Amino acid sequence: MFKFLKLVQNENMKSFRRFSTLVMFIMLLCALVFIGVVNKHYETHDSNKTWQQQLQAENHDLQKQFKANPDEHTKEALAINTYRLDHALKPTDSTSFWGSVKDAVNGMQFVMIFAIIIAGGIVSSEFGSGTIKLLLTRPVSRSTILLSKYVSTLFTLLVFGVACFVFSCLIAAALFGFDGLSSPYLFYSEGAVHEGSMLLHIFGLYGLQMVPAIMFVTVAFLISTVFRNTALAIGLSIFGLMAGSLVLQFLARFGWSKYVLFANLDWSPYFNGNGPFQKGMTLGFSATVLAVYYLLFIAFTWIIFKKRDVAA
Amino acid sequence: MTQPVIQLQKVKKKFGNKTIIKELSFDIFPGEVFGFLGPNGAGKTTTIRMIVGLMNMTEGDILIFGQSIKSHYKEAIKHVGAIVENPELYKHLSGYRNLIHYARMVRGVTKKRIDEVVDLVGLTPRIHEKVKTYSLGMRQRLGLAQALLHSPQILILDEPTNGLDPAGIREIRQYIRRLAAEEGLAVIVSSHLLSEMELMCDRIGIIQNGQLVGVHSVGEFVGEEAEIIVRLTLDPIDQAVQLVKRYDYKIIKKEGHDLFIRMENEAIPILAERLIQQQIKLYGIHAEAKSLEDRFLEVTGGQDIV
Ligand SMILES: Nc1ncnc2c1ncn2[C@@H]1O[C@H](COP(=O)(O)OP(=O)(O)O)[C@@H](O)[C@H]1O
Ligand SMILES: [Mg+2]
Repeated sequence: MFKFLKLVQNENMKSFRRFSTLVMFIMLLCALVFIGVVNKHYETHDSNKTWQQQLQAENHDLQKQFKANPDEHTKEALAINTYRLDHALKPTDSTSFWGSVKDAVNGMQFVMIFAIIIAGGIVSSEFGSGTIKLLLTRPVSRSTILLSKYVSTLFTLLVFGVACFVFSCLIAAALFGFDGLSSPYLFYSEGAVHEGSMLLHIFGLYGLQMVPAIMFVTVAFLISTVFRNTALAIGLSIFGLMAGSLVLQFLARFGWSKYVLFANLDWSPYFNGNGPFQKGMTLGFSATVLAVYYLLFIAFTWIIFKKRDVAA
Repeated sequence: MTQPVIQLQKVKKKFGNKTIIKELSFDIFPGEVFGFLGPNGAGKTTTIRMIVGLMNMTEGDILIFGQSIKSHYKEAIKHVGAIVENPELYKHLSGYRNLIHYARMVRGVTKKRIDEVVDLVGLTPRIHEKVKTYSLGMRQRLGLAQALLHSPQILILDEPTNGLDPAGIREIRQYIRRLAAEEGLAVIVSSHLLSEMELMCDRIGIIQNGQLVGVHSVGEFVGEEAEIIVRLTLDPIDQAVQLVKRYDYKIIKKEGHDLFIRMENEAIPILAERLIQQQIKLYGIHAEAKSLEDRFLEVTGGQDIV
């Protein structure tokens, strides 16, 4: 076990001591600063009304809408707005600390791309440079080497995710101060509005992003191992990341499309009350489908890596 | 009789349906430098890849200290340090971090041992610089350092002098001799250059088209050959040629009054006696030392040698 951690440490050293990795962190920081600054810019525009006045206006519209079309969503929004007005809880919009941090969850798109870039090179670059020969002539089994690389890849993803969160907190504090730091996360369930922790809510949002992130990183790792080609691994995975939802739209009319990988990556409908992609899909269903894909990917990667001749 | 450290047992390797290595068998003993000599494409690198477990063999087995590289990979490989083809290291890391990397992969390599090895290969002043700033010679030495880090009993170097200048070649040669002599390492060095092999090896195996065509001790090359080449200085030379032909000796060439003949050592006095009986003047007899080069040219048919 101790030795295994050392192997992971080796892989981390190789990834994090690359100049390109440093550039990725800088790019992530720049992107988050950009999002924050844009939000800050809009803050100054709509400030002739107080938040109470804005909420009242919004409630007025919502009530009209509810009369015309009484649905659960409108009812929830109304209840939460009313709760805010009653308890003097300022909404956490993009110009508040938490609102800004919440917007920055979108930074996970960058995190996914960066993690894919690292995953796509972690095996194939060793073949490309020939260093694989020195790596695989040690008293360590090939499976252990592969696992250490995979664990390091996931660790890198985690570090990027944590960096995204920490950067966004620093930027939010710098731009909007700690105003509303204690404001809770409000959610509607079983006919009443409840207060929850904002921090946990945001961690939940990160968690939802981690599901596709882990799958795409695993796919990049698979292609990197099987084809030993970094460009192919990164290209195909990012293409999947970008085109996945588009492909899904075309397939939506087929019943079997619920078994497609892309259809099960977004778990947010199961939590925010929006309908799932196909009727009958549940969290358990999506988790099972992804688990099957995941195990197939891992098994395939492992079998290929274990058996093949190293001619690099 | 000492136990061999490496035993190749009828090793065969096919790529597709092409057989690249054909029933290769040989043993390597502790403390010896074994030269693996053959023209480009003979199968040296492929054989080395199989010894270190990078490639699977199609048939046969390789034992390292009696353990099969196929079934007991970890136990077998821990005795081996190797450079296969070029010394490829992580260019974006310093030399020192490269060594830390390999030190973490085995048990019991201390910081002190790393410093010791760095010192041995003479990289101390530059070890904290990135490998991409190193010359080929320095990379070769860093490669050697990573191979020696875990104090292996077997060192395998595939064409270690490739691309080095004469000073670099001499340096590598001295390291190899020293490691074998002082630390009792068994060393396998492959090369397509026989002049190098003669200088650093105790035994040389010549491989051609995936087959071992002969294993020779370096000392034994001249003496123990059954047939040698003899230079005779004679007059009149034409009459001598006729006589030599009559007795079925093989004439290699004629040069002025010199005649080069291939024959067994024992046949020299007999031929001399016959020449004298025919009143041919014999001015001199010289056994021409036969170099490894002649032998190598002979086995490989003179083709494909760089
Ligand atoms: N991965 C491979 N696939 C197919 N043929 C190969 C492969 N590796 C080597 N060969 C062939 O095997 C032969 C021996 O190659 P190699 O062992 O590299 O020779 P050497 O190291 O003696 O120059 C060559 O003909 C080469 O083309
Ligand atoms: Mg070679």
